[in-house]
Amino acid sequence: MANIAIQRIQREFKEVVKSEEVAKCSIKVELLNDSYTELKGEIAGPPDTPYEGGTFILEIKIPETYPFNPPKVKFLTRIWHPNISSVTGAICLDILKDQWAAAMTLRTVLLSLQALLSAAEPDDPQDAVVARQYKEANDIFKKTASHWTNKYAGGPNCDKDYEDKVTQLQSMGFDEHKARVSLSTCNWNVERATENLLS
Amino acid sequence: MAEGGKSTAISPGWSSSTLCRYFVHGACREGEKCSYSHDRQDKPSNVCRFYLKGSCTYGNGCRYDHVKPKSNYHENTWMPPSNKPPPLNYGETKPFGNMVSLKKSKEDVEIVTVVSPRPPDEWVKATEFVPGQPYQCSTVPFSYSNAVDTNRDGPKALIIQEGMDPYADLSKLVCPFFAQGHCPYEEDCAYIHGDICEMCGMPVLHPSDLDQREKHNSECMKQLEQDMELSFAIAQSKDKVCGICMDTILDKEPMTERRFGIMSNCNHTFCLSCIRKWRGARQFENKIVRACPECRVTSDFVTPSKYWVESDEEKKKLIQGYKKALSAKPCMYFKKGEGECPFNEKCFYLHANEDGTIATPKPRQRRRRQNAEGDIDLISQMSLWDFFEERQNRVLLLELESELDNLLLNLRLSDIDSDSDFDDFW
Repeated sequence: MANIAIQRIQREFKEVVKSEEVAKCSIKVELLNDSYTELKGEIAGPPDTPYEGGTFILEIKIPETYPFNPPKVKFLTRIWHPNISSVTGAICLDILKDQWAAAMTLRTVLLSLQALLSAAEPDDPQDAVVARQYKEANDIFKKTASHWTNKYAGGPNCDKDYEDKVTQLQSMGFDEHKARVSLSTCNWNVERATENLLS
Repeated sequence: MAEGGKSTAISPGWSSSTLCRYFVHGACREGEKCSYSHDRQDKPSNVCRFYLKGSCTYGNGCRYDHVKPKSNYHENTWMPPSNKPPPLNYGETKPFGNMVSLKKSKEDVEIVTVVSPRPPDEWVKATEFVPGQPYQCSTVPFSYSNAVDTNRDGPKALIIQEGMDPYADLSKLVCPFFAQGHCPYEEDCAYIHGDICEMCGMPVLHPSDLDQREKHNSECMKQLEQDMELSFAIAQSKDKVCGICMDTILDKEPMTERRFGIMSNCNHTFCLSCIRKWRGARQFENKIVRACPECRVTSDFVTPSKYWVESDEEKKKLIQGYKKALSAKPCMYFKKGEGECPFNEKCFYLHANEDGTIATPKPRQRRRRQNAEGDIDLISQMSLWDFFEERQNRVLLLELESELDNLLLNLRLSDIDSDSDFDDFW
């Protein structure tokens, strides 16, 4: 990897470790290999959002041309969010694409992602299903997001009603995750979710 | 100077009276059998001309002999110990009574006529004796090129004819050795030991020459100001870190990397190579890369600078200097009128024709082009610069006339193509 990229990452690494956000446990970066090309990021769900209390793990890949090109970031933890794919974890965030600036760092990227969790952009969605729910049935969206946080990111809020619906579909022989996706997509209407799964 | 090389071709009779140049160096292998004279009284064949003039650049490493010809040479020539100023025994020196005395006699300095090509006040002015004090040697510095080119006026004018009194000004000169901190003659020096300058701390001020004092003071002051500015600039630049590579710019390796790229519209710090690379990135929109990577304020250009500048005034000065320097360089696109520069009149580089006249900016031409439907399009030729300006400005930059033309054209087009779906399709 280009010299400048390695140097930058080494410096940024120190910066993140020293930063107060780490002290507050809101962001974290870990090295995955010695060549500084792959890192693991962690962000805490921001307070007063459905993601509160969850810990979201990110995959960060540093391109050869960093910092003149943005790092490639995606969610490894499943998340229900209009700008993040519920299937692949791909993120729709301008600074990770065409609005990148060379002075941005791992720290600013992680903080931006954290900010994205608290302020979704449903008009520029990555996951159209989630975005529609966000706009049309915001209450259900919030509960779903909270439920996903509880299930996949270790969030504290357990929604009994949604739990039961997933168990109900599971007892019909469906995979737990698939059942959850289907229910979330169909605004937790069990019949439609079943139809969706069967089709 | 070159005669030494030819010596073998010359008859033995001639060589026997010529001092052996190896013997002079104590390294003649022929010994007694040498066809050249081993008598130091004999004339050396290849005496270094520059040594005779008093300043051979090669010193001990010179190929030519550093001995004095007999006529100018006395057996008892006093050679100064190395810590004393070597050129002081220039000129014919007769033992004692007639020797040039550098010690002040109480009443009048004993002056001896000198046939040396160089009067003593000349070596005083030699640059090497007064480093960092250009005023000492500003009149006639004796340089290597002066020595080579004996026809030049400078040194020639200084050769003082026999009978003149070259020491008349002796007591008016400030001793350069003392000025550098140590004069072996101390109190007895024939030259003036100047007063200590408060600013530079060197004893270089002439006690009675007010002009010299004033000149030195003003130069010292100027130097001080420059030093202050420089140290301020360094202090200001020292800890600056590039926002892109995150290196401390003044610690970067190699030295050529230690340059700042000063943004014209914001005060964020980058090293020149990083910001240039960012601005040259093709994977983003122009608007993104032309903006500061920190604050996204667009800067039209980046100015290279050795030190960090932040204040508007300094920045303005820097940019002006940069533009001035660029405006002296011919534009590589304009090619002395043969090419075409996309920046036209906004270009920072020199747009001069072959004959040196400054070219007048080309008027913006409007071209006609047939579009897909066979209609005539009016195209206003735009400069590359226009695309760099803010979008709002760009509209203003377009000539009103061409705006009207476009408007009329659109009206005409809409008359012809009443089917709007067709338009959309295309």
